[in-house]
Amino acid sequence: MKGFGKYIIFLGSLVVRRETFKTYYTLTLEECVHIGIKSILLFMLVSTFMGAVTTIQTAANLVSPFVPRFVIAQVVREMTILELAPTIMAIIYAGKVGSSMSGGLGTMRITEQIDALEVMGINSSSYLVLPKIVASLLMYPLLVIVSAVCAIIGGYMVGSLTGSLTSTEYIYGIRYGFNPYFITFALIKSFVFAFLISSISSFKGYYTHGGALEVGIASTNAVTTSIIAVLLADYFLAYLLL
Amino acid sequence: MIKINNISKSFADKVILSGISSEFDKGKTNLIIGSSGTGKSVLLKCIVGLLQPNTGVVYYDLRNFTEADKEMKSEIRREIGMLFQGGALFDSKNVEENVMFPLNILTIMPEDEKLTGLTFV
Repeated sequence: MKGFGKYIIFLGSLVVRRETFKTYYTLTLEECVHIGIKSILLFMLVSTFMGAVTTIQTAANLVSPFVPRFVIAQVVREMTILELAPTIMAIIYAGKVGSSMSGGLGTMRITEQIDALEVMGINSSSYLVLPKIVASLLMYPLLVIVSAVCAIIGGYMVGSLTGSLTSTEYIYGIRYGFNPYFITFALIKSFVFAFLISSISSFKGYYTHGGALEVGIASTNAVTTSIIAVLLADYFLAYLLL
Repeated sequence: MIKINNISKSFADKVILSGISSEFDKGKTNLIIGSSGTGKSVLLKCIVGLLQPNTGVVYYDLRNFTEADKEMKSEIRREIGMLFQGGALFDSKNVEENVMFPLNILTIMPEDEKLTGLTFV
């Protein structure tokens, strides 16, 4: 509970004694490139294979003559939009971006760069962390959309290549019984996960003490805590919104 | 002038500073000398507010820094320069960006009047 209280105080410190809008604008754009643009390839690669594997495994399990083949595409669509794109990608995001945030801030802490900011009268938490959180909130939902599209394309390619189902069946299945609310739900989840991962990772990095070994420990803690928070939030969001 | 009055600082049971008082006059060079682990850095960090002393007060030109609110502390800190033992340079920035950093952040100056870091160096 003490740690949670410290986390809440940390979040409060982000919005007081702020610098100028221009400062945050520049920093946020830099973070967007670092967080978003540099993660796109990894997200596309993982998502494409995820969609492909989901298609193959669903096709292998739906062998009943009473189940039409287009149901495979329907299953891929629902799994991708509801869970794989927002949640599994959040775990990858925590591993790539969360550990980077935590490690960066931890190194700044142990090399007294954060102290130097404080001595200059700059609110170091707001200056360093707020742009990371804002950039995450902007970029992660976009990454989730890219991921969902790639997963569906991956499923389409594998379905066509392996002959599990025809292109027509796949496209029919993707469109059949589509509920647009699931997209809204996935985007809500992505905003929540982006906030949790960026804030928890920054929190862990910002309060690092010691040396290089502790920076590594802080990064590991950031990833594990973020993933646990994401999974808990996933359960509660599904319970509340579906 | 910086005045410190009865500064004490301890970490858990270990007392680092006990009842330190002194005055640092403007225009004078003051030295704090001591062997390793005697609390020189802790005293400096208490003076600039990076550590909160357990007892005692720090004054900057008669302004109570220790009990000031965050806004006031921030204002006073903008008058302070501190060189850290390890340099504490922003390693993600180059030399010019490091030199220009406080100018860009803390001063309001039109772009055409803003001096380049190289001029300062």
